[in-house]
Amino acid sequence: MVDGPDHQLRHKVDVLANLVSRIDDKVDLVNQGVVTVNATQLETRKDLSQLSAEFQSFVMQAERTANIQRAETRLGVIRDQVEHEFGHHKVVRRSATGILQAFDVGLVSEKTVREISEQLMVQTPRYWLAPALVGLAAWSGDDQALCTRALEEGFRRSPTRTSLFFALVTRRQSRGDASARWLRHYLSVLDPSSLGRDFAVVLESVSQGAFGPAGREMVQEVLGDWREQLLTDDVVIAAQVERWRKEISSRRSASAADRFPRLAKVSPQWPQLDAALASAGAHQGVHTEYEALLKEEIHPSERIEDAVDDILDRLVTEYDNDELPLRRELALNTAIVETNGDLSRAQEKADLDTTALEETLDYLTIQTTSALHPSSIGVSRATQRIAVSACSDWFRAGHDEFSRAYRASIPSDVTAAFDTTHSVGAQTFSLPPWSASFTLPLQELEGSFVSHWDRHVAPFIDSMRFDWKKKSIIPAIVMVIVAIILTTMGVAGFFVALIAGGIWAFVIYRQYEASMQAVAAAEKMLAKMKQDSVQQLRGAAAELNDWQGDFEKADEMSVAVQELIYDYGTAGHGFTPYEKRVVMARSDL
Amino acid sequence: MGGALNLFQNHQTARSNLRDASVTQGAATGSLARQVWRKKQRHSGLLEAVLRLDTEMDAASRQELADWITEQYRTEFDAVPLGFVSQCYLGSPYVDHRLDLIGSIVQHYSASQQMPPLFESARMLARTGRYEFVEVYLNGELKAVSSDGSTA
Repeated sequence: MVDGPDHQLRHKVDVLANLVSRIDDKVDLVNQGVVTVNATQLETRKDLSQLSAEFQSFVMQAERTANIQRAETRLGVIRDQVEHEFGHHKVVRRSATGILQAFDVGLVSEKTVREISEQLMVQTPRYWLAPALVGLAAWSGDDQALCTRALEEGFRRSPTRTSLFFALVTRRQSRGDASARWLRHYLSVLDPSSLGRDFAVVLESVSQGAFGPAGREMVQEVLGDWREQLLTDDVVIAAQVERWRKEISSRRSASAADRFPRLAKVSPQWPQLDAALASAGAHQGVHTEYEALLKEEIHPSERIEDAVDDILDRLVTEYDNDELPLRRELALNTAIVETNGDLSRAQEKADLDTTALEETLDYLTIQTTSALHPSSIGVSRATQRIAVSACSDWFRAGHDEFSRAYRASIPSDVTAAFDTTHSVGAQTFSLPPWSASFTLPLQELEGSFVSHWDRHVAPFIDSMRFDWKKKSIIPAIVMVIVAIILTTMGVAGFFVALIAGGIWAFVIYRQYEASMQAVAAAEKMLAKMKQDSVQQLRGAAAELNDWQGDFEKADEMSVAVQELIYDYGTAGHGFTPYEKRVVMARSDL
Repeated sequence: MGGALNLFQNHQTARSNLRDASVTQGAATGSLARQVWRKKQRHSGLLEAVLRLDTEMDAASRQELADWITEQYRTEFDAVPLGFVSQCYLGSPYVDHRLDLIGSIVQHYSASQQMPPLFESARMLARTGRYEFVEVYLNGELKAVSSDGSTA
């Protein structure tokens, strides 16, 4: 009978249909699983790159901490070494000032002073100050022979410092003529292109008025001659201008990437824009610091003796040449601690300072160092101010060069560039690179970007669509053949074929529906991404405007700095105190 | 100060004020340093002449002006520039212009146009508005001249 096998057949087809639909469901599940895995993988990659970045910064931090610790240990060691090798000089230095003050008030007997000076002479071989003290003691004891011999010995050990010492001491004791003679003697043997570091004391004395009017005039004359002499040497001038430029450049501000995040992301010219803005920020720092110096009220000490004592202190505490290598190391390690372990910046900083730690310097360099790093050469704020005023031409030139350099470095064309990869479902959409210049108005930029995006998204979306027409052809043909075969076996066969065809059609329809859903989801996601990118573009354009505003504001400060430098130049002569005071002291006699 | 700084966009707001082109006398006299420094300064007559060069309509008087400027440079500074680049106040879309001393030509440019190579690098300097004009020399050197005549 037809029913039996027909029933069996129908049953088998039903089972088949069940199986097919279950397979279909399982495929759907697998599909979802793949999407989830893909998403998880992206997350993992993001986490990994974040972890790697954090690790790098940790390594750098650890390195820097190690540098700081090493530097601090070195600092302790070097300071001990300095103390150990040169500490005994401190006693002599203190004694020198003590003896002078004792002379002032006459509280100490000559015998004691003699004894002390002789003791010190024995205890500190080779030090120039010891015989000078013996000479002082002999002077107060009226022993000319001893005094002469002591002075000769001191002169032998260090002619320049001994002369300067006695120029100051005789001045302090109001022996104007003697002071002038010592001073003349001292100045005549100096070579302006290689002065010892003790010369800064002369500058200090001029600024404090310690030489008296005659001495001051003499010094001014000599200094004037030296300037004329050295200023014909272009190399030396260029070196001074360069130091000022470096000084200004060291006050650049930090990167502004956190204030302009979208511009930083979108524009390949961002590093140049950032550098230019940071450079323009230097003017503010320079202005604040130098204006403070200009306006500072520096009170000279009331008695000239105190002023000279201060200067004598500087003279005698000036580093011996032997100490210089240790001092340089000290400067480097201090810089490492100050820059938090950043070795390259510490080296830069230490180099700026160590010019002062050379054994001989030319006069112009001493002047620049007095202006830029007064403490490294042992001068006070007052001298610094006068030095800046004397250097005002080079200050101005260095400032002009610095300003010009960063202004010329602004890129003439700022562009926006996008080229991104997004993952959509199980596939990745790669947008080919697009870039355009911000000289175009924003509307045009947006339009160009949107059309570029649309142009490339369309084929991608199309590739995701399920073309049911094509897919249906083969099944249709197969079904027709099967139908013919089954129908020849009986009418029931035709129905079976129909049902099988229907199931197949149903499966194809399900696939079509799934693809339409995927397409809809993809379109939605891509539309959002497009919107995000357009927002970024708009944001970047707005930030570019902000950048220009910030830049102009910072750049404008350069005018204020120029005016300040001009003020320094004109104010040069009004700074030294004691003009009036010297007259008063004269009338006291 | 006039409108906002507009370095990159064509649609620039015109800045109507030119700074005073008079030379401010520097500090004290006589010292060699100042003399050397002064040598590099451009005097006010020269500044005025260069600034007039781009407003001069008549070709003949422009040529005369250019000749006078060339002579001034030759006698005072020993080096004659090829030409000058300065900011353009005509308004959008022009941002700067080039003055050629040899042919006494004045050409205006917008932000997206390119100047001849030697002049191109002077443009950003001119556009910042801090200098009156930038001298361009044949050897590629650039000297930016401020309103007080000092060069950088």
